[in-house]
Order: sequence, then structure tokens, then C-alpha cells
Amino acid sequence: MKKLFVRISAVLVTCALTYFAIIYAASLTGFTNWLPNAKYTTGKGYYTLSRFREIDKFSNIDVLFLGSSQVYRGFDTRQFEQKGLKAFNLGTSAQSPYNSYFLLQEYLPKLKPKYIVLDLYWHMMTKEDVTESTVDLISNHELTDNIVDMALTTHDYTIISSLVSNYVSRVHTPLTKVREKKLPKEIYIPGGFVESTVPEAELAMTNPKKAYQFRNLDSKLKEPSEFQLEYLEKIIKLCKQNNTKLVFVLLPVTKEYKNNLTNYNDYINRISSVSKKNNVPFIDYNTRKGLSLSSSEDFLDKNHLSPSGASKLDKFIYQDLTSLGIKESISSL
Amino acid sequence: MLFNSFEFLLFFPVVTILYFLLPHRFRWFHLLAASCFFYMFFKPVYILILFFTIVIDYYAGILIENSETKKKKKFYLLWSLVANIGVLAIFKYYNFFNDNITSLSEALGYQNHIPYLTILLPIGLSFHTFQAMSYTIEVYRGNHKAERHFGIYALYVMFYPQLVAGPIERPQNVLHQFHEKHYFDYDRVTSGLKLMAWGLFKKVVIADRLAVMVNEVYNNPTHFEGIPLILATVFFAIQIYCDFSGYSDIAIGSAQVMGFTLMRNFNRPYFSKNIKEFWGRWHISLSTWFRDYLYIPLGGNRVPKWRWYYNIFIVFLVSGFWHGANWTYIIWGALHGFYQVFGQITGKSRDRMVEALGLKKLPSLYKLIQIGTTFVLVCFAWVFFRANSVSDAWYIISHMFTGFSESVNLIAHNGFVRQRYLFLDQTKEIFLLSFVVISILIVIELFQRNRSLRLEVKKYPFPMRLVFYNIIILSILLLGSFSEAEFIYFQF
Repeated sequence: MKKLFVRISAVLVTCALTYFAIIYAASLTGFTNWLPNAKYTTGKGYYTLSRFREIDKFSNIDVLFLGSSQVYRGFDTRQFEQKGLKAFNLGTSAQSPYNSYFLLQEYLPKLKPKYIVLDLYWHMMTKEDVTESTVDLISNHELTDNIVDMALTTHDYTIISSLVSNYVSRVHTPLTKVREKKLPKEIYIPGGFVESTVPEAELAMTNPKKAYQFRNLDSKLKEPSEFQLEYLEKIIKLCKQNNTKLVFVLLPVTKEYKNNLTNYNDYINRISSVSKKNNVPFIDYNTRKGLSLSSSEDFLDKNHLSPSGASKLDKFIYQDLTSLGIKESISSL
Repeated sequence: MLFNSFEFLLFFPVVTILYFLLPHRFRWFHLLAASCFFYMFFKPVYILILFFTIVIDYYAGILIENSETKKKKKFYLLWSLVANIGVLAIFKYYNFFNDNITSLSEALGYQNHIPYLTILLPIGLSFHTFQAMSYTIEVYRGNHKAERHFGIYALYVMFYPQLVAGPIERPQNVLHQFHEKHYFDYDRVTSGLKLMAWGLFKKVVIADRLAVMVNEVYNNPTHFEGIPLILATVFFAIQIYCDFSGYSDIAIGSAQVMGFTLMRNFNRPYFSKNIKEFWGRWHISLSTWFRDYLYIPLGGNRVPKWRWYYNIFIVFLVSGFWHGANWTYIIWGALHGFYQVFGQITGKSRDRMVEALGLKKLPSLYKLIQIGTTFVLVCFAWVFFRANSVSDAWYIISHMFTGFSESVNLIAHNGFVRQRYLFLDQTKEIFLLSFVVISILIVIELFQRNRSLRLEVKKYPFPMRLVFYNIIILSILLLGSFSEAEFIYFQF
């Protein structure tokens, strides 16, 4: 048995050393795309790195927007600035309530927002797998306690291994030295918004680029995941502790997409019950009176707003935040 | 507890070390307690179902042996079979029949008032039930003596390596091993560990990596046409093989570490030259179970031809139903039954055709055609096995060879669609990596035609072996997928 233990120890020690050597070499040579458990997407997200670089300049803001890609394409902070509201858009790719909770842990004390607008898009509320969004965040953020905690709490080997990969990669390239990849036809607007410059003609639903999506629309939504609901409750609690007002929103999707969903109301009822129970306003912009969006002009695809769509939406968001008392809460300070 | 979980990484060495440290007389208890713990990790309350059948079958075995008349023996055997099949019927098939009664009643304008059971299927139920049944049948046939030690009998049913997904063992092969004392043997232990590592590689690096792509297509089949449907089906064929044979390797390997020999469950099935041969190499413990306890009692091939074909077809139909209470599994089983019967009926004319084409003079090409044809037939049947419904399966089959020009157009125009259509929603690197690991599998399977990779590796000095072990372990750590953790066959 002794011989076995000695040999197993030799295997484990050499494996550990080789593991770190491979990760280091891969991150140095950009070979990490070939290692699915050592994901390293620094500077390759939808401007997540720019957002985190910029956020440190902000403090005592009026509104913080949180959620997935719909958020960074839906809330143009310039529009809110023009109306006297200091806003930051912290939407990141596939961000779900799980991720939002840890981001709030990190930024609530620094930003001290008066209002938080949290998007509850169904694909984020129903998912259990948070790999994509978590790897995006750990790859583009300094590895603080909250970010590391977010990775470890998943108990997901791929995420934890990717966290190790990120630690190792920072040895040779600190985050401050990383150059973010510029995306074609996508501009990062200071404040967190991502503006698409895709010509309007290319947005037509008959365009082959979009036709596929419109032909294959989901028809039934899954139940919100208990895991995400648990983190939604945690967000509510955290906001209450910090005296921050929380607003749930559901950003619009195209009419075709919404109408294709047979159990849309079940989803709305589920979110409404959480909102009522916790006294958190919930606004569904798919059914918001007066908001009229054209599927061919105001959307990049079935669920992401184009800049013109975002502009229309933001007027309504501003109105709704005003009616929820955002102006009063600013002037009372 | 899953073999590919962190918990098992702790459970296995602790149980194994304690096993060797304990005196022989306590080992059965130790293994039984460990097996209970292993099973209760899934859903603790279901252990009561296991205990119920264990108690019934333990006493049934003794009563069968003690009975003097054939009639009485038969009575106790029936008692055991009814209990086992009854448990299966309630937990696995009740809702299926109820659903079908509801559909039929509605079609006839009636309402079905039979309540629907909201119960979860106990994990691996079909496996341990079949293993338990093989015990009472063998005692009844006089091929094995009834086990008098209740703990040992319970261990026969519950032995954790093969409790939830086989191999489905026979009492002749396993029961005596629980009475024997197993010593620590370095070569045997390391050989078992190597088999476990290879099984884990197949599961997490090949099966689970492919599963992500297969699930994307099979869970949204109407989003695809043409190439992605074909690719996902081929990937599923490889996924299910690596998933299940990987499980079997870990089961056999972990038992081997402790000194137990379990039967081989897979023998390079995709190199079969016909469907009959495929079933001699795929899930061998189940195929032989059906042969011994259903096909032969039905009369096997010692009956008129029409009856023989009927026997073959029935066995495969039941085998399909054994896999799951769903029409997709029944069709899958029926397809394999049809392949076999059709193969028997057309055997001579096919031989004549091969002769006429001169293929016999080109044995390698002929063999390649046979293997290819068998693989295509098996893949076709897998569509039903994997599809979420019969209508999904039909969509997949009817759209596999359509929409090619549109696919090309979509792929050319849109990066998002390209990734979804061409790489099945994965990155190009992950997609290509799948082909690399599949190639490794094929090379190793070919290598193992007449040799054992484990024995070959053993011939090299330790530093060389260390490199080999590093490659396997690091592949698992860096390339394995851990999101599709559960084994496909657990649901059966």
C-alpha cells in the first residue's frame, strides 16, 4: 500500500505542477480558447472591461441599471444625464440575479445609488448555469473578495478553474495593461451603454440575418429558477439594508416574440408575486401603455433594442422613475 | 452520488482504505453501509423501496429452495417477480399507462378519473430490480443456492459500484465474491484505478462535452435543418456510448480495486458488422439478461420460424420499454427488433448480392461497409431514443436531409447563426476539440482490438507511465465538462 501512496502522490504533484504550467502558457500565448475549463475572456466581452474601468470614477449616483445584454443596449445613460439624473449602466452579458447580487455587494457601498433598475428577462431568471456571465465578470474585474466569492459560491468546477486561470494570467498581464477588443459596429458610450451602428436597412426582419431568429421563436417559457429567485430575494434584502429603492423591469422584446409565448402571463404573475410580497415596483415594458416599438426598426433582433428603440424606451423609464419619486429623493438630499 | 462528483472523490478512497484495513468479517457490513450512503445521497427515502424488494427476494430465495414441490417453488418465484415488477410498474410505468388511458378516453369522449402520481423515479430502479430478479430465477432453476446471510444478499443487490447503472450481475458471478477474502494487490488495484480514469475521461471529456451540443439541437430541433441534425445524432451515438461505457468502466474498476470482478458490459460495439453483433457488444449484461430470462423461456430459436421472429421482436420491444416509459423508447426497441428480424429474413439474399457485387473479394471494404451500415442503422434508432417526443423524432428524421442550401446561406450571413448551426452553439475551438477527443477514442478502441491498453501501459517504466497518467488527469481537469453531470442511464 505504501508503494501505491508514493506513486499516487507523485502523480498528484506532477499533475498540479503541469496544470499551472499549462494554464500559464495558455494565457501567455492566447491558447485558452482550447481549454474550456480555463476560460479567460479578459477584454473580449461586450465592453465589460470598459464598464469596470469607468465605474470607479462614479459615486453617489441616482440610478444604477443592472441586468443582461438587454440592459446595456436598452438604457442610454446620456438620456438620463440630460434630464439631470446621474446614471450608470452595469449591464453585462447574460448577467442574472445571481451575478447582480455580487456586483451589488461590490458596488453598492461605493456608488450609493438612490434607485436600482433591475431587468428580469426570462432567460436570465430561468437559468441555473451561470458560467458564461460569471466568467465574463471574473475575467474583466479585479479579483476582489466579492468577485472571488461569486465564483466560489457556484461550486462549479469550470468557473473555479477559470478563476485560477485568471489569477495565473494576471501574473504576466495585469488587468490595467489589457487592451479591450473593439467590436465591429458597436460603440461603447461612457456610462455603460453599447450603441449599435448597424444600418437600419440591415435590421429588416426579412434580412437573412434576422429571418432565422424570427422563424425560431420560443413558444413556452420555463419556470423561474428557485436558485435565481433566492438571489432576487437577497438583492431585495441588500437594497433595503442600504436604503436603496429597487425597481424590477422587464425590457421589451419584439411583438412577434412576445405573442409567440403561450405562458407569458404565468411568468409575469410569478414576478409580480415576488414584487408585491416585497413591495418592489415592477414595470413590464412589453405591455406599458403608450410605448410603441417597431420590430423592424427598434430592435436589433428579437430581444435587443436598437439605439432608436432604446431612445424611445428611456423616455418612458424616465417618466416612470419620476412618478416613483426619483426627483423628490434627489432634491430631498 | 455520482462517480464524476467531488463527493465520490472523497467517498471512494475512504471506503476503499477502510475496506482493506477492516478484518474480513466486518467488510460486508462496511460495504453495505457505504452502499446505503451512496444510494441515499440521491434521495434517502427511496432506500425503503430497495429494502422492501431485498426482504421479499431474500425470503423468496430461501422458500423456493426449501419447497419440495415444483408448484410451491413456482408460487414463491411468482411472489418475488410480482413484488419486483410491481415496484417497477408503480414507480416507472403507472403514469405512462395513465397518460395513455387519458388520451384514449378523451379520444372516445370520456374522462379519465384515475389519479396521476406525483412521484420521482427511484434512481437505477430497473437495474437493481433486474439484478434481484435474476437471483430468485437462478435459485428457482437450481443454478444457485439461496443466500442465507441477509447482509450478503442485501450487498448483492446494493453493491455501490453497480447499484444504479449496472452491470446487471448474476448471483453465480458475484455472490460468492462477497464471502471471499480479498487481499490488497498492487497490480490489481492500479489496474482498477486506470480503468476508472479511462471511464471518467470517456464520461466528462467526451460524453459530457458532446452532450452540450446534442442537447442544444435535440431540445430545440425545429430550430435546425440538415447538417446540424445529422451531426447531433452522430454525436449522441458517441455520447451515449461514452457515457454508459464510461460508467461501466468506473463501476468495474472501482470493484476491481477492492478485489471484485464484475462482468464486461461493452466490447467496442460500434465496430459491429451487423445489428445482432451490436447487441452482443452493447450493454452485454442487459442483452444476456433478456436472452436468459425472456428469449429462451419464450422458446428462443427452437420454434417455428414465425414464432422465432416474434420472440426476437418481443424481446427488443420489452427492452425498449425497460429503458423508459415513453413511446420513443418503445419505437427504439421495436426498430431494433425489426432490424434483427429483417436481417434474418434477408440474410441469404443479401449474401447473394454481396457475392454478385464481388465484395467478398475485398474483405476490408466489405467489412467497412458492414460497420458503416450498422452504425447508420443504430444512429437512426438513437434518434427516437434521444428525442424528447415522437413528434420531435419525426421532425429530426424528416429534416435531416433537407434545407442544406438554406443552412449554407444562414451560415454565410450571420455569425450568431454560424456558431449555432455550424458549431452547435459552441465556439469553433470547443467544436474542433470534440473531433480531437472522438479521434482519440477511435484510436484507442482500434488499439484495444486484441490488446489491453492497461497492460500495454504497464510495460513502460514509471516515469513514462507518469506522463500518460498526467495526460489523462489533466485532460479531465482542463477539457472535461462538468455541467451535464448525470449519467444518461441513471434515469432507467
